[in-house]
Amino acid sequence: MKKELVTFDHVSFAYASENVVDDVSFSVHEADFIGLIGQNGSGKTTLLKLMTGLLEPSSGHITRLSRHLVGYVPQKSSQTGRHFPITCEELVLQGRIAKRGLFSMLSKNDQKKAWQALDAVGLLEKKNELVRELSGGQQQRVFIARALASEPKLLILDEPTVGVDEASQEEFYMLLAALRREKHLAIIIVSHDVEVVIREVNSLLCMNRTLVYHGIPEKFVEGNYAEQMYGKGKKFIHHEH
Amino acid sequence: MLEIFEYSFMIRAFSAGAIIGLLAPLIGTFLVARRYSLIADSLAHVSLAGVAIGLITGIYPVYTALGTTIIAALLIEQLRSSKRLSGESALAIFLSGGLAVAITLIGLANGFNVNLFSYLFGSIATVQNIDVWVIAGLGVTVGGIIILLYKELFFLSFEEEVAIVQGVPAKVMNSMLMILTAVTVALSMRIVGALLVGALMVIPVIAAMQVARSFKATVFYAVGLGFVSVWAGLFAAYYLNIPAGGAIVLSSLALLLGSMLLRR
Repeated sequence: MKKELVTFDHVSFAYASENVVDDVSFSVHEADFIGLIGQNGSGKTTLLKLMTGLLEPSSGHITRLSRHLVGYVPQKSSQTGRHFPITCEELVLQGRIAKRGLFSMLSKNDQKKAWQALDAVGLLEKKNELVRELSGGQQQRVFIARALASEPKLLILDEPTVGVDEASQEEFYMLLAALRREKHLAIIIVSHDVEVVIREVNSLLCMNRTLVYHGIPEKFVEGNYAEQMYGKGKKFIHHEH
Repeated sequence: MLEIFEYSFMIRAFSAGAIIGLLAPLIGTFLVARRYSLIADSLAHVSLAGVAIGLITGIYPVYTALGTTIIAALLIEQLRSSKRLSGESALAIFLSGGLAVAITLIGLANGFNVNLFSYLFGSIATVQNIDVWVIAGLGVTVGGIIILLYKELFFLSFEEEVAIVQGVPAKVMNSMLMILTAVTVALSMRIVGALLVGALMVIPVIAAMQVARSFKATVFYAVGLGFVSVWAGLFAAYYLNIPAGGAIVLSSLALLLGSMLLRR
């Protein structure tokens, strides 16, 4: 039996009086690779914020990992490194800051961990370059390296492939596969690109305020869940590989 | 020795100016990184209300300005973090609100005079010994706290949510940054004037961002450029007989232009 990392037990969350997440229950286990899909406004981002502890549920209960075991990579728009001068190494070192604690300096060991994280995403030789001067795909990998530097058990990625070209996207999924293999990471990935996600992950969570579907991607394709989520006429093609 | 340093008021201006020149861009770096540079202007307008209270009550105006800016800074942070208002709306309200309170108080006391103008536009001739001591004392304190909390402020300024997820105590740190900003604004007012404080906190940082090759370098360049701006401005003010605040900000703009040309 694989260890449970996060458990949602009848969790609801309301802004004002309307539930944007309604009675959701599921668990994330060690080494899971979960795709979280759903339309805009379906409650995906709220679910992530509940999972990371940025929000607390209005009702129900969440069992979470302790904070430093969660690596969180938010959507692109919030990433200041894209306009402010910061080197890859400086950005990845941020992942060590909370671990080190107040009033103490980062150590040689922290730097070593940062370099290992950069190496894991294949960007060690760019450590002294500015993040804003990297390509979109490379920037995405630096932000993942920062999450890795904190040595998490769970990696949460919010829309990581937006604005990344197709070749880099393929590389990106290869990187995730390698991380799962080598570091036994559980990964949750939010994406609009449902067809790609279905091909890659081994478990799907489909949100439409509540959990419409939770299970293996194959069953999702066979069932009519896509219509429930996106309206009629939407079909998915399943690729074997 | 240069003639300019034979006047004790100029020595006071250069000493206080040096501290402000180093401190304002140091705080400014964190504000610019979080795209929150306008807070300096909002707090500066609020600080005028504090100056008005001081002029009316006879209390040393820098103290009353410190009190009002710190309270306003904490209120703005509270509004921002509770998401009841967007950060931008909170800033706009305090900017005009602070000025309105200042004008009303001063009008009631019939006190539109030279003394007030020295706080609006800065005045090197009226910098007193007490100003230098207060600026030095609080300046060193603010600088020390920033060094102590440097890594947390750095992380939060770049990505607040990620920092919170990883366990950085954001509430305390953000309030602390707001208090430090408020103190710096109130102190800078004597030298550059309330209306131009924001410029000294932001322009050297933007100039540094053009040429720096890391965050650390940005901090050092910004602090260096802030210092140079203030001293160059003070020299210009003395020899060309122009207001110091304007001269200081124009110097920083010249440095910004230079750094932009250098980047191309």
